[in-house]
Amino acid sequence: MKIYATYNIKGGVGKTSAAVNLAHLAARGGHNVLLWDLDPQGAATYLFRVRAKVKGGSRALVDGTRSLDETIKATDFDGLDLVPADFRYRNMDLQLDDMKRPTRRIRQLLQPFEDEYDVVFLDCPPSISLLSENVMHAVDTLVVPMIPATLSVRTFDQLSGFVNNFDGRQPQICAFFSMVDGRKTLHRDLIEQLPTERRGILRTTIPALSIIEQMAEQRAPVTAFAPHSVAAKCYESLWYEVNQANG
Amino acid sequence: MGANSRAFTKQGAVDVEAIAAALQPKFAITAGAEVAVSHTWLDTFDWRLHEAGISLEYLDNGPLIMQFPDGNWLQGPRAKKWPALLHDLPAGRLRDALDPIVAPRALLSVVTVARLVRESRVLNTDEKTVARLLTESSADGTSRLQVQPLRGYEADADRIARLIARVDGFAATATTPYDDALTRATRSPNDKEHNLPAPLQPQTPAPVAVANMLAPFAAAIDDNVAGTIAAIDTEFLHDLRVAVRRTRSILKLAGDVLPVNLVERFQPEFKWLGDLTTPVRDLDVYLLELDNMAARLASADPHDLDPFRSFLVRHRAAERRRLVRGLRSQRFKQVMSDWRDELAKVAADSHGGPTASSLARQRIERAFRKVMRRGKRITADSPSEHVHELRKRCKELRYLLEVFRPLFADAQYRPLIKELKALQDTLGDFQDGEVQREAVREFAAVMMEQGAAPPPTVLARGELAAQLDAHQLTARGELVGVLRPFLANENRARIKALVR
Repeated sequence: MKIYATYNIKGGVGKTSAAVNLAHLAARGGHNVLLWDLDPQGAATYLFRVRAKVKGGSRALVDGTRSLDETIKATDFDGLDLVPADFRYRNMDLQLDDMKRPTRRIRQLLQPFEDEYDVVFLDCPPSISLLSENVMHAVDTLVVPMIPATLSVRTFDQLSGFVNNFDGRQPQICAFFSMVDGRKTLHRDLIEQLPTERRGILRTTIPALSIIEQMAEQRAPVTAFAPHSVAAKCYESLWYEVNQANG
Repeated sequence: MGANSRAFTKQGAVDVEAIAAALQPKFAITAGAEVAVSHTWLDTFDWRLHEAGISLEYLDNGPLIMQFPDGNWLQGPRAKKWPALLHDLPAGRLRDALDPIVAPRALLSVVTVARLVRESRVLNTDEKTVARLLTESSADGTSRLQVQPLRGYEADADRIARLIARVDGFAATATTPYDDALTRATRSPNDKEHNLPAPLQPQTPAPVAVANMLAPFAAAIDDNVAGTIAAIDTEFLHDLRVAVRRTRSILKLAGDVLPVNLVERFQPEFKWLGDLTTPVRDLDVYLLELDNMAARLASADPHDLDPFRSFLVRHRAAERRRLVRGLRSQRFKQVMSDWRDELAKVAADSHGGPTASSLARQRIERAFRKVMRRGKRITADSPSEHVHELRKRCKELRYLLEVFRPLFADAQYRPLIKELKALQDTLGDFQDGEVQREAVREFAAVMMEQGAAPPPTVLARGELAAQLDAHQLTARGELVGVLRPFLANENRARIKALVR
């Protein structure tokens, strides 16, 4: 079972779009895939037309009164299941803090699914918190969307530094530029320059296309409702590159 | 399946419009196109998947689908042709899931049915798919509708099923599509019931009881001949041999109540059949075990045993030719045909004489006494021939307990058979080790003679032989530990109570 998380401290950078499309592509490729929408806003849950409610909320999951198994919902796509978001996930940090090993709980919750799912995606809320630390300890790969801006470079460096300080297991970082506007010089320059200076930055970029925004109206991944679109091809290329980076 | 059935049958075609109307306003239907498919189901010869409540199937050229009783399913690539052994399937989760249930048996095509199939989706008010509807129409005019729940939406599937149950013409059914298809198959899991012995009553005349015990073994021999000849999997020969061995044991232990000429004529024939089948079975066991043994090698490379494996495979091919000739011979056909006729005659004609219960009492007591006598002599230093003799006596006792089973009360029978099984497992383990140890030495000698053994193979085999020696020492130690409690007074009392 390979675990991926789409993560960035900043919001609105294309985390959910990446999680939803990559999860769909993995399932379409024949894998059994689980997507856990950890963001209380529940955008991924909404896109799959699933109701954003988990019985007992995050507390029941964190303290073990309910298993993750009970919360799983099939999506409309073969091989792709979802753990929905719940607005009560906003309190997950406090609940995790009450646990004995608070940074390992998400990993523990996923362990029973080792044989059931080939690929797990965690769609994380923007922030740096106990929950994001949990996610970093749980995953094999952090998929980090970045808007091409000077501050994004700083965020990337902070994240790399944080992960490199982990004892033992460290997740691999696969960052990529998202919401790219090819007409902006700054975007073009950063996309050219940064991969030569930093390791872990992928060549694929995801352009700022309106068809990606249309996912909210279509309530489906762009790779499903417009499989031949430029956006879908970009996500295919991203998924291929993330897989290559994983060996 | 929930509290209500999610499967329905109907005479004539399914009208999707009528179903859609019944599901409103909570649900809507998106109907798929109707397509003609051929649907094939697979199972082992002894119906292991059916017994586990599992169906293994594929549509046209589609992938293999394994459906579990709880509604879960797994999908994986198919083998190139059927019958197929598990290693003929590409590695993956499906093969891993089949392995503990199926191995070492082959998967055979059981039945293929042509159907018109339509898959529709049921959507809730958020336009989220919450269930799938599968409708299948057969050439005989019957249709089947199945509500397939999606994970996390089981309550919706039950609600949908309740609404469909109210539509005219739909009747809930507890059968699966596999059950329905099986009614058109040439073989059926219920065939096994034909092989069950006729009901045994305490007052049944002893010759009738013995003939009725032997008839299912004769049927089992017949059933397994074709699969043995076709080399579908190794279990056909194994099951055939078990039936021959049981026939020989019953003839030995209770054959004296049958007409005299019967035992005289058939005992040598079944010995011939047993001997005919032994070399291939021994080589089968050896080849099945070789991978396990190779994995245990510490200093030698498992591949050093490859020439040894090739040697065994060649040897087996030669022995198999001899076996197949025997099973195709006029002698074999005549023996089996005469044997069935004679048993039928005894079962129909015998009256009076001793009863089944007096025969059971006498023979079980005698068999148990022999086990006790042999068992008491076994120590950690006993020669392996003594252990082998004890194993044979235990087998005889087990056969008798099994064939006379309907005459006994559970209270005495169950604990006795449980302890006997444990003892037999230990004895079997010891015996297998002995056979393998002998075989390693015997084959080594033959390979050396023929100059077919490169030095690394000789060394690897030496390590194997040493491992087997060590294993035997441990097995012998365990045997004494299991034997003492079996011989204790408690079991003696059970035997007395059993046959009183």
